[in-house]
Amino acid sequence: MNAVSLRHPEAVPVSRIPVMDMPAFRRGVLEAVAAGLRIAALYGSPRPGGGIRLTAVLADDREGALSLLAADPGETYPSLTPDCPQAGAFEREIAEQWGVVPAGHPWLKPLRFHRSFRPGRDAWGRTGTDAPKPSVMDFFRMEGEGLHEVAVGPVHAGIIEPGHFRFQCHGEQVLHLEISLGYQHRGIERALMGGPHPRTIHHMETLAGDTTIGHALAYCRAVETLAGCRAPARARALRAVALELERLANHTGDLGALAGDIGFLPTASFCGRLRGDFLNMTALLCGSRFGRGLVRPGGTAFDADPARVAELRQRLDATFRDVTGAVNLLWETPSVLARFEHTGTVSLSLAIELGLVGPAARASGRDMDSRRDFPVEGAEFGAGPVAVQESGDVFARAYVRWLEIQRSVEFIHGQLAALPAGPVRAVCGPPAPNALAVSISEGWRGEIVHVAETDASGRFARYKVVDPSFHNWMGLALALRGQEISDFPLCNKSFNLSYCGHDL
Amino acid sequence: MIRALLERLRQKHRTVGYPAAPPTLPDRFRGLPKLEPGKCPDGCGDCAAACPAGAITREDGQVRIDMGRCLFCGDCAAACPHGALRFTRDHRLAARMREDLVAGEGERKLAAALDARMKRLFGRSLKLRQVCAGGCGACEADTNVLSTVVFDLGRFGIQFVASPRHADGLLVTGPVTENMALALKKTYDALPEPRIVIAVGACAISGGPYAGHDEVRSGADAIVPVDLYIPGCPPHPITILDGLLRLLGRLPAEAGNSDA
Repeated sequence: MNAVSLRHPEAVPVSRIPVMDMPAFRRGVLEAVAAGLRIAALYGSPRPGGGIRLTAVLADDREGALSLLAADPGETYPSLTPDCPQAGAFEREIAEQWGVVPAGHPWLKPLRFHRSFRPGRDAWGRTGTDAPKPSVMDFFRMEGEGLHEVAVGPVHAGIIEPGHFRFQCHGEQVLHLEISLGYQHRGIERALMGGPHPRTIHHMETLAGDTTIGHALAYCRAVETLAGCRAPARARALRAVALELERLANHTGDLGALAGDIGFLPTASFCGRLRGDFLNMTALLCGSRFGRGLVRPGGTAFDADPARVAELRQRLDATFRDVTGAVNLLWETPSVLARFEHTGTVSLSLAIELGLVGPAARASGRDMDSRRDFPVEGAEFGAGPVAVQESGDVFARAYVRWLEIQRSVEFIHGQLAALPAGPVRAVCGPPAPNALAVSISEGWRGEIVHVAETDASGRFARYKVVDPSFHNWMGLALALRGQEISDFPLCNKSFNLSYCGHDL
Repeated sequence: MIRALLERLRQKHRTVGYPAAPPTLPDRFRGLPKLEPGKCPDGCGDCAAACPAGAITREDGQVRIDMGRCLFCGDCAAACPHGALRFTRDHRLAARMREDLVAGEGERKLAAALDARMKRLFGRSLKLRQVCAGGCGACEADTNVLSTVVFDLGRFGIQFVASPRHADGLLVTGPVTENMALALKKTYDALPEPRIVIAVGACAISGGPYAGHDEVRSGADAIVPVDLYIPGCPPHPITILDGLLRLLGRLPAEAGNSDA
């Protein structure tokens, strides 16, 4: 295969990435996926002389290696999706952003409902000056006796982000669910071109607000790699701690919310509070419950003195004791297990086919975790077991979170007990020109991929963000097939995907 | 069952003492910015240059911070070589008027209570419908957390409800994306009158880090009239609670301060 291999994190000159012809590119991606690699990113970027170049980032989890393939597709090319379902959303994105049509795509519809990045190039031939209207498109529809359609959103009953869900039902049974997003689109990738700008780090911190550390970390490592800068060891340890605190807060909150969705109020109430206790530990480090202002190119903006570290460890122990008590109630209560088990099952083969990542993939038996497979920040994590379950149902997605909570607490203690001395921030210079870097971090929802490409002046010619939700929304849609519609909230919470992380 | 009860005993009563007691905030918390313009030499604009959100202006020698734009990142304070600007731990940030969010040298205005008629209607029972219109999830999360046992919003008669038809007011987060503008307007129109609107976070007040993007409307008041602005990125839950209680006239004017 005519691809460039790189370790993580590593920058390569753009000129080293060979541009293949489209049939070879297509063959390269399909063969790699057949051999067990995943599409970590697939995106279009504008070429200086006009036209669009496709780049695929393929992840080999077993080897911890990445390969890059590139090709110039022209204005249309044969879609990969019919042979490779995990390319589906990426190709819809390419069509929407650049007007390049993947011919033969089985479900070529807008993903976010925004104007093309290339004026006049619209994949659906839309003309006129009005912006596209969200969810104004044809939905998959079934007809027949006793069949009906349920439409929900964008405004939902709770305090959550907006999205539109279209269910095809027979009685209570869901035969098909189509999810239409884009309501949260804020224009992040368009704004990133020509960056980094003064606001860029704030776009990263608010890209998916509950994953502030995860995305800020992926971004900082991308620009550090491009600048040839390595954050000091102490900063790397503190960043790794912050990443795990973010995971602890969200996993704990999710377990409480899962309990709430089935009316098991003790765990719901306890975890609602305990989630906040973890957020307050992040605030102990940097003043913000979400870690705003902590991770910066070159390291961290805050250090932790010994008293602060001691306070953090003491709070971590106390909170973990309460989380253990709260969460174990779930596994001891038959009515909880009856609702969790065999609900919203995703098989391993489906998880692989869709390219699912994070706890959702691990709950279906996929042994992957970028903290182990693509380590940077806390290489020690690689020694630990990856939390895997086999059953692929709500129970497995809940139990994987509980296993990860235990592992994260242990990891944080390990890091804080042996915090390296020294500064927490190095000077991070400007990114190298005409280079590409891939940066991966394991956010609490799964693998976060950032790809930064610079132009001749060292500005971002393209900055691609792949939030784990981008892969996993389709997993939720398929998990609902054959389920009762009343199980939707439970299935939805067991994935707990980001709308803004998808919509960018 | 017995295990759930035992665990309940072990987890104890956890509701915060606020507002009777001062709130507990982290020592690195960045609240109300404090300016000492006397320390600013002529022509210095380091703070304004450091601000990613364009929140700081200097006109006629007067430095002002627009808390409606501020992301509370602290870059301005770090950039000021003269110690003329710092972030205090004062959590009371909410204001009734957009211009009251601009902090200068003088006294600022804390959010005033609703008028007598509205207070009679909502003072003891306020039902809110939340609409996220491009919010990143942080403002939403720290609003949602008010309903947990920690803040126990129900004790103030405030509750988030599922339908706008059941609501007295709208709590908006996010910069109002182009794709949510219509849904926000429709939700507002579905509220029975009289109704109030609360904008939570830099995005909902000014667009925040997305201000000026073609894809957003840069704030809720482009679509609906706003009665209460609560700044922050995101605001601390106590800041949101302070704003809600002040709006309902349930806090004495100067109460609940932790560190001015």
